[in-house]
Amino acid sequence: MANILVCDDDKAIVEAIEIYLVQEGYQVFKAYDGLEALKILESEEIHLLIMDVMMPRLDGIHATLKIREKYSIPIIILSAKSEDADKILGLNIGADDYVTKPFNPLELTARVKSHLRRYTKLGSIGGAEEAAQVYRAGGLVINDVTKEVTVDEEPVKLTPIEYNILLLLVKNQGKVFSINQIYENIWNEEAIGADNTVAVHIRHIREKIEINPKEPRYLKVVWGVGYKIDKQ
Amino acid sequence: MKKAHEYGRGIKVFVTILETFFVVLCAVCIGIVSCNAVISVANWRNTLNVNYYISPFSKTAAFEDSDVFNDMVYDNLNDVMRYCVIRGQLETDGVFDETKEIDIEQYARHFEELPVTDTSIRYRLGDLLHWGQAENGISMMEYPYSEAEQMIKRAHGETDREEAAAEKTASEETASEETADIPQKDAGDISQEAAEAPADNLYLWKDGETVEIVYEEAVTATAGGEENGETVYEEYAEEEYVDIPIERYLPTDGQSILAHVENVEELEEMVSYLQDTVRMLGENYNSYKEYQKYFDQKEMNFQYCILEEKEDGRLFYSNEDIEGKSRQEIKDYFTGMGRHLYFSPAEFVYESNTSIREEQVRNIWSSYRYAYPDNTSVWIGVDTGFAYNDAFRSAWESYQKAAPGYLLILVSIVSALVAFVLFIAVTCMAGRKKGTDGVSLIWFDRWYTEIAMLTGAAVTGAAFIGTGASVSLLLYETIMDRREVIALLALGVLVTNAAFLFFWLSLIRRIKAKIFWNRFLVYRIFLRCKDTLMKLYDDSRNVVRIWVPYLLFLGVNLILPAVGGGGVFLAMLFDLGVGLFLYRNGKAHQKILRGIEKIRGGDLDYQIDAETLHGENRILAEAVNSIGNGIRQAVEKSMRDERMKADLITNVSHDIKTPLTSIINYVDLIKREPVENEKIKAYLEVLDSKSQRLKQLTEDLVEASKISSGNIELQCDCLDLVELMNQTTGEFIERFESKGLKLIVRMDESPLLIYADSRRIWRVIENLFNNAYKYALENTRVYVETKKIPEEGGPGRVRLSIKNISAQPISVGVEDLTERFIRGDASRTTEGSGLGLSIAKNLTELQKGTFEIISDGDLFKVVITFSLVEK
Repeated sequence: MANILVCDDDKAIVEAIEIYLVQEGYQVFKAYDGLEALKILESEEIHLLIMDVMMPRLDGIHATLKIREKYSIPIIILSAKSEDADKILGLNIGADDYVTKPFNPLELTARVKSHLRRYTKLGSIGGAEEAAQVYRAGGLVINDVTKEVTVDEEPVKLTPIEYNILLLLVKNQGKVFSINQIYENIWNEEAIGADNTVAVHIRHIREKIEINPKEPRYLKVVWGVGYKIDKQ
Repeated sequence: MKKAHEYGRGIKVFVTILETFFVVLCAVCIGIVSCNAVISVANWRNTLNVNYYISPFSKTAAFEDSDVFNDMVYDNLNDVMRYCVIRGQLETDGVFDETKEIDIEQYARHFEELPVTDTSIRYRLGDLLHWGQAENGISMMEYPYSEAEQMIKRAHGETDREEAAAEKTASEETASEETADIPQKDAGDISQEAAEAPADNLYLWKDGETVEIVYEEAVTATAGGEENGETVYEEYAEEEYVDIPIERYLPTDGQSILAHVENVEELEEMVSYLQDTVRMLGENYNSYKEYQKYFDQKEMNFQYCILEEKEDGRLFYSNEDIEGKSRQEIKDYFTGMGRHLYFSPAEFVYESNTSIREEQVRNIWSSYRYAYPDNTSVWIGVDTGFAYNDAFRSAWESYQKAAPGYLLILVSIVSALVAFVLFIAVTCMAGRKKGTDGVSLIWFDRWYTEIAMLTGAAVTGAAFIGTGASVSLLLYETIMDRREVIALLALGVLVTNAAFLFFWLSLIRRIKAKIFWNRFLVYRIFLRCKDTLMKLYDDSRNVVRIWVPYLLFLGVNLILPAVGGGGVFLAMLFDLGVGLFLYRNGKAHQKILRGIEKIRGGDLDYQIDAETLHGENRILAEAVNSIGNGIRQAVEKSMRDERMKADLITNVSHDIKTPLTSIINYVDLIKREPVENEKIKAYLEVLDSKSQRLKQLTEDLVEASKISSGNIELQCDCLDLVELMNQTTGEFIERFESKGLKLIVRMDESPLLIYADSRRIWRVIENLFNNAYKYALENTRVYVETKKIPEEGGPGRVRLSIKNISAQPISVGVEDLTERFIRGDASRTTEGSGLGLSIAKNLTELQKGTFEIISDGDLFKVVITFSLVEK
């Protein structure tokens, strides 16, 4: 199984994470500051790194910068700092994900799984078997022939309407669709008056494909305008 | 700015003393040079010294060629010619002759060269001189005109009568006058004498008395009203009086002067001749005596000869023995002398080796022309060996001694230059004192400028004029030791220089300290008057301040035009002035108003320029400025405080989150373990929900503090409120239904475009829906409505309202609901931080919307409005 390095100056948190990850079958290495993390990275083969920001000796930001000089492994920053500016900084210096404390253990393990899959499998498998009928947005893959949807290799079950809405958005990545536009595309009839039918469907899709529906990675809500899937 | 130089007291005193020294040195040098330029020569009259001046620059010539020598020769020539004229008047054959007869008319008019009248009154020279030596000259008596006429007539008559006894009387009178050298008799003596005189003289007195009687009669006659009497009175009143001399000496023929004249007019004329003759002869006699001593000396370096060829031989005046010498011999003799001069107007000859010019000699000649006939010749000679000890010799010796003044002049010029440079230095140093900033002043510098300047001018001027006057007086008017003169000069210059420096430096310090103008007394008085007027104007009460100037204005405008044309003009000028004043006042007012507008508009940094305003306006402007400052400071302080609070809350929340993470995680881990005990399961649920609530609380707290301190960035865009409501209801509808809440949405036409931050407006709506979800009574309806409110001249506003029935009675005021941590007390125990409404309200207002909570019984209603925008 994959080797995961957890780095945090709070031992209780490191141990709690270790318990969750070991239950999932990963091998966990522990470090309590940036320098230790760097050492372990040198001696062991690590596939994913979970790192705190505020640590003694070498903080998470500087450690990430150093690690990025040599390694391309997924890095998830786990921090109490929840400001937008902090998240942007973390992602810009090379982190792949940013999870704020206090975190949901299920969400963390889901993200770990997701990143590991993409790092170990998707990266190598690549687009060899890429067919004309397969649409991809990051870890989200829609096979229009088999009508199968997978998120990070995990199959997702969608209703026909949900499937059509998602397909529309994935086919037109980056484009924002208003409720009326989606309605007209899917139901093939003119939208009369306001309705929340589409919004309800979108919510259901989000709950199915997103790890945290409130902070969606794929299906994003542009409030007051419409919905979109970002180009990835 | 460049720092001004500073100077110690020592250097300043030193330079000042040095400057004074050089000024005095310069003055002393000039003084010595001036003294040396004067040659004082004992005068031939032995009265005063005569000063001759030599230019300090031209002492290269020999003494004989110098101006001093030539001036002396000229003076001698002038005097000797006058001497010879006087000799001609007083002497007979070269000897003083007191018996010489002088025709008074001829003598008195000898300058005029006019023909003399036939009246010839001759006196003896001795008599005339005696008369002149008397204290008051010739004594006179006043007689009325008619009386004088009578006296002349009688004198003629007497002459006729006395013809026979002429011999006797003449001899008697002559004897008495000659023997008795009695002092002059006054009028009293004369009358006495007249009283004692023989009968022929007696009536003269009586006649005078008669006149008086007649006079009195005339007065009485006037009283009587007689025509004759009145006429007499008038005649006497207008009558002139005639001065008749008291004849101490009689003319040579022994008869009274009255006998020689025909009428009163001639008498008056002759009397004036007599007076002139006596006076001039007296003066000439004195000169004669003085000249005689000098020019009759044989042993002198100055030789002269004035020769007059006459039919009966020749008349000459000389101090050289030329008796029997021919003209040629005389000429040769004088030509043989070192310096000589020959002048002969008859031959038109002028020969000289002196630098005296012909016209100078001719000038002297013409002033004595009456005395010398045209065939007179003049020789002058000076022995340049200066063998005899006289004025020429002493002048020659002094001239040899006088040193050329080059060195002293050079020294004086150099000292003047040095003194000037030092003076500039002292001027520059004035007021710069070591160890003090700015200009240091002394007590005198604080005097009023014009008083100080006047005092300075007076003191310095007095010292200067006093020095000059006293030195020139001592130098030229009296014989004094030159060293004393120089010492006096030095002292005078010292005092003048000191006085001048004192006042000058004070002036310079004033200018340097920039108090020259504002220490003017006139300026101070002007300022004081202005201040007083301003103060009066400021202090007076409104009634006085408005009504008095108004009445004054009215009065001036009514009274001045009534005076006349000039008054109208003056009134117009006055009105123009008032207009300008009002305009200025109005402008000041406008300025203040603009300032108030600016501050009200949020420009708290704005300051009204109060310096240029006066009186009330100034006070007003300053007050507005200080209010603006106060508001700005308060705003800045509260902003700073809010930011600090937000930072503090953020930091604290980070510290809380780390242990909270462990709590949440380990509660979760325990829940995963098989737990049989139901109680423990229940406790775990409590721990779980409370730790989740704590998590929510910290997040909301950070957000709320950030929003209320304005510490967030908005990314605004055009949004459709209808779309937003559809999306939101889509998110919430299933949760609402789970609580039995029925959502009723009523929306106006689509789209309703507003300008807002997409994520932030979602946060507002989400909070409001969450609020309704949490606190609404189960199985009730929740109403959501949007309504367009049209506005004139714009796209109008949109009004969004959310209404629900509260499950619990609302126990606090609606305002308190939006305050942080305030919630209805009864709902304390439910989930939520209580910050939702507060965050919603602040976010709405940040996006330029309005947020209002209305509660009516159990009805809870939130109303939000936003400005619509046009696509």
